[in-house]
Amino acid sequence: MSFQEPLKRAKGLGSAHEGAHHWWVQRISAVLLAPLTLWLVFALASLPEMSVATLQAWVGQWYVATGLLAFVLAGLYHMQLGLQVIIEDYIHVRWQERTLQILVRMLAFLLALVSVLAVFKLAI
Amino acid sequence: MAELSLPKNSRIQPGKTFKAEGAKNIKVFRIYRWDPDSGENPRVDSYEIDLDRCGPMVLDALLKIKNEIDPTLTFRRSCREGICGSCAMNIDGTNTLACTKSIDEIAGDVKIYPLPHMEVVKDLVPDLTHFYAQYASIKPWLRSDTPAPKDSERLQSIEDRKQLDGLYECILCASCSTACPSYWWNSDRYLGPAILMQAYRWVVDSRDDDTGSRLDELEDPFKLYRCHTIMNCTRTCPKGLNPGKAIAELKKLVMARKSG
Repeated sequence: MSFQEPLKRAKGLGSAHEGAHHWWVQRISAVLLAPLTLWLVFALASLPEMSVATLQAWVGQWYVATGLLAFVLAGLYHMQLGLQVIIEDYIHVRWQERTLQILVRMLAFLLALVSVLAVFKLAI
Repeated sequence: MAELSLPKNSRIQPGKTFKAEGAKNIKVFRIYRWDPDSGENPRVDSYEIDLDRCGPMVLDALLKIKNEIDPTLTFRRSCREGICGSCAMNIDGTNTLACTKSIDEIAGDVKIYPLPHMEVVKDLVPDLTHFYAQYASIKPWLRSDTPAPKDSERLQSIEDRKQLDGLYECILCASCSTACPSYWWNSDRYLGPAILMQAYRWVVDSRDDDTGSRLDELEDPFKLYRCHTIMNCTRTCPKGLNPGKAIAELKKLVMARKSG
């Protein structure tokens, strides 16, 4: 038996006064990723072969390295934003939700570091 | 985690069948039944209806069942013309009003369930307490620091009034909100399409000047941004309104006052 008024439950903890930024950067990163993904697919498909030497020569061009870095960083940022929403949607046990959010952020950060190093290693 | 199966006491059992003796033009209505006092699981009862002796709408058949076949069937209804919103239920897999849904639109048996993912009070009656409390929480009345003119109402131009078209017609039947997966999983915090459309209705009202604090209250990862533009709301609205667009406009207005 609860004596709480329904309005108390509906108001909850009130507004967090945020969410717009998340919504906006998710869209911006999506818009950035669309052409980058197309470029990457076509560029990879038009390489003559998939040998390390060919890739090194390809990534060695400054605009390819820049494009790859942009793709990886925007992609991982977008991934983290998207997974955050999915976790908020479906995981309703507080500690599980928070643990997953932290893990996803750490994973995205580590993957970003590794990817940047990989691009540098190939390019230089 | 999300629950993928119903709890044991919610699993639906086969129910009774009520035959229509001597009828030629029969339609079967398969209706969700649950009585909290019985201690039993919900069941689906089948009622054969003689369409030659029944009105054209699903609500006519429900009333016929209640009056002539099984008086224990429980559902809400009032105006029987799509303006009160009482008889919103899930008919043939879609949330709509029983009074404006015609029987001959439905192929095969007519399956009727209460609005999805709401606590059931009995049979087809969902508990809308939280839904109404969420409506109250947006303070859905005119808020203005300017007192109303002494001898007249607050005036609106024809263009200003047009802003409210497609919004004021909402009858708060809850069909849209209970069709929304985001509302199913997070209705404790997400306001849902019906309430957000009413929030927008007051945001764009030319006579209301509390726009800023209305947007302040809405800017929240759960209250507003649980909407992922799935658009079930717009597809199911029995009044042909577009809550999905109203929510998109709210998101644009929240952004419009920011830099960057």
